[in-house]
Amino acid sequence: MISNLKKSKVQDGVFLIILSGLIIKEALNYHKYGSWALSPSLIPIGISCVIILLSLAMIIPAIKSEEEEAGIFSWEAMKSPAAVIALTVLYLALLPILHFLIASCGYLVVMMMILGERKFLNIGLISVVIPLSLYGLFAILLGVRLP
Amino acid sequence: MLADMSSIITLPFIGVICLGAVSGLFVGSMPGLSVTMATALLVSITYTWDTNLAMGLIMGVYVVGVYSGAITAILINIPGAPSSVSTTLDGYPMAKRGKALLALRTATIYSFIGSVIGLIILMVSAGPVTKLALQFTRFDYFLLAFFGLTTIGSLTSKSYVKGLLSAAMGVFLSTVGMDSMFGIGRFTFGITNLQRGIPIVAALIGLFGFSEILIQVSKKKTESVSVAITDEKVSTMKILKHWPLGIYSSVLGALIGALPGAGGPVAALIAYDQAKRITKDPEVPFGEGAIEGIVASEAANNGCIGGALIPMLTLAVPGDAVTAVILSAFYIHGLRPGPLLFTQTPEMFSVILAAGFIACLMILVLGYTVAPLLSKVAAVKERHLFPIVATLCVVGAFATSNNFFDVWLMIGFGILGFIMRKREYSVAPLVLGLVLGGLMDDNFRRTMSLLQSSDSPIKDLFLSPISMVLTLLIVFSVLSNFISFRELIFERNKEKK
Repeated sequence: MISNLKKSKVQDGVFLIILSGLIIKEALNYHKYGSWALSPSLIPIGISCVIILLSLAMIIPAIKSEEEEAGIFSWEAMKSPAAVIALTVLYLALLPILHFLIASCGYLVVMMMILGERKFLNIGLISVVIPLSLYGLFAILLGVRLP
Repeated sequence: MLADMSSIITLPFIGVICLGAVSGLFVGSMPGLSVTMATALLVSITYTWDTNLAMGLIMGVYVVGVYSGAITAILINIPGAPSSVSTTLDGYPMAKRGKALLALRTATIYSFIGSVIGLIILMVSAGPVTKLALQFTRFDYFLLAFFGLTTIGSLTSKSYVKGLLSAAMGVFLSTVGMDSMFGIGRFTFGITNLQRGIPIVAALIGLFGFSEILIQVSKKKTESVSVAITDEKVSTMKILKHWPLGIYSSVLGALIGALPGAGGPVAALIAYDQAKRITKDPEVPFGEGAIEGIVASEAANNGCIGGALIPMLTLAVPGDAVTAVILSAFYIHGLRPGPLLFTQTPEMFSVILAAGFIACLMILVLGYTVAPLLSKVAAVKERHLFPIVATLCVVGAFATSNNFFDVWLMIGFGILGFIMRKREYSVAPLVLGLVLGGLMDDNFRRTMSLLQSSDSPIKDLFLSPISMVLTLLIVFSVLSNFISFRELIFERNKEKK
């Protein structure tokens, strides 16, 4: 049983079945007008049932299979994406305070350093030119509002 | 009609189409900037212009913008437009194998062919196709969307079940937001910004743009994402030998485009799926850089332009998002799309066709001259490219609605796409489910409501010729995938023995 739970298809299937159960529970709250034909719950419940069936179709062969799976996630490989996500979240949080040009400049500097750029000339040039170019293009030329 | 066209084609008319084409090339190739958004901006800019010039500019952006979505799809694996999603499946792997220029030329030539064939079909068969589309019931639209989702399952190379699960999750996500019939907020959990539903552009940028950055970063420089244009020699004859598939996909794209609501993404994905079935022995397997994948996808999504204009011009029903914006441009200029257009202002049909054909030529001109230069963006080192693309993702997600909530959603979809791709789920079915879910929800519920008063619901549902054909296509699509899956198991068992 425990070895089966290590299989990614079983994990995904169980997660999706639980998620579908929660969707059905929430969707039932929207069924207020008697008839199911026009009910706002109809498609969410129907699609959740489809997800449950498909999840079972994924879990059962995976349990029967004797093949060992190689780990899909390696925590070592997750460090860089986690750093990029954290930095982007920080960038978004600071955008309303620092405004686009300054926040983007800082974001580009830190992200390039995270990704391994060590030449300060490149870092300086890109982190200044790109935000200015985007500002000129979007805000001035196209009249698009920037964050 | 040809006489009308010759009187319309003036120097300023050609000039604005060229201007629109260059803008379309830029807009379509920039992740986060959509042709729909550009067209909407143009409607507000050009409402004081002469009608012919305004339509010329808009058609230039539309035709070339749809094509140029392929450029970033090929070079950086981020489709510039939703209709180029299926181009990424083979375009990017082909570029990574050092054949970026071949991929770009293929996209250019078959976008041109697709656009021309689409416009010819618009010219000669607007009437008959519109009559057919008029016969579609609500249930037929549901079946059509359902068919689109069952075909996309086969786009996932590893598992059909995972493809269907991804599509089903997309349909569920499409139900988030205000219900159009009862005004009930579904799955919004009190978040006001979710009342308008999941914004497609933010989801698209997150799933294809931000998740790609995360995937590449997690690979720890084992492979480079940057694809440079090399000095490879590209034989046009080699590209043109796929003309039968190109013509077939163009016609398919135009016909699907003529069905209101279907649009370029559906056309391209169905054509891609068809190409997989038709092409018995591709030089390179599909999903790993097959030229046939690019041919089918690009011919179909550009063929869709002419098709999408058929119901828009003759019925005032837009075929896709861009034609919905063009429809509003017609009203702003005092025109009446629909049957009255052909009686009151018949020259407008010629204006649209003339602008479309000139824009097609601009695809070739820009595709051969400017498009390869845009690859400089992709030739940048990944430690320089990723921060720039991430900034573009933020800007693009914000620009569509001027709302920070969309940017947060984009990040969320980026993380979701990253997890899905790590666990070998394709994100393309989720996007299609998200796009088609609303259409399915609305049409299915209205059909069920009508059936309540029917004496023979099964007969009403399935015995019309269109419903029968669509149902058979769905059954065939599902069964063919499971049969091939069984064959795969059978072959594996034989190998074990």
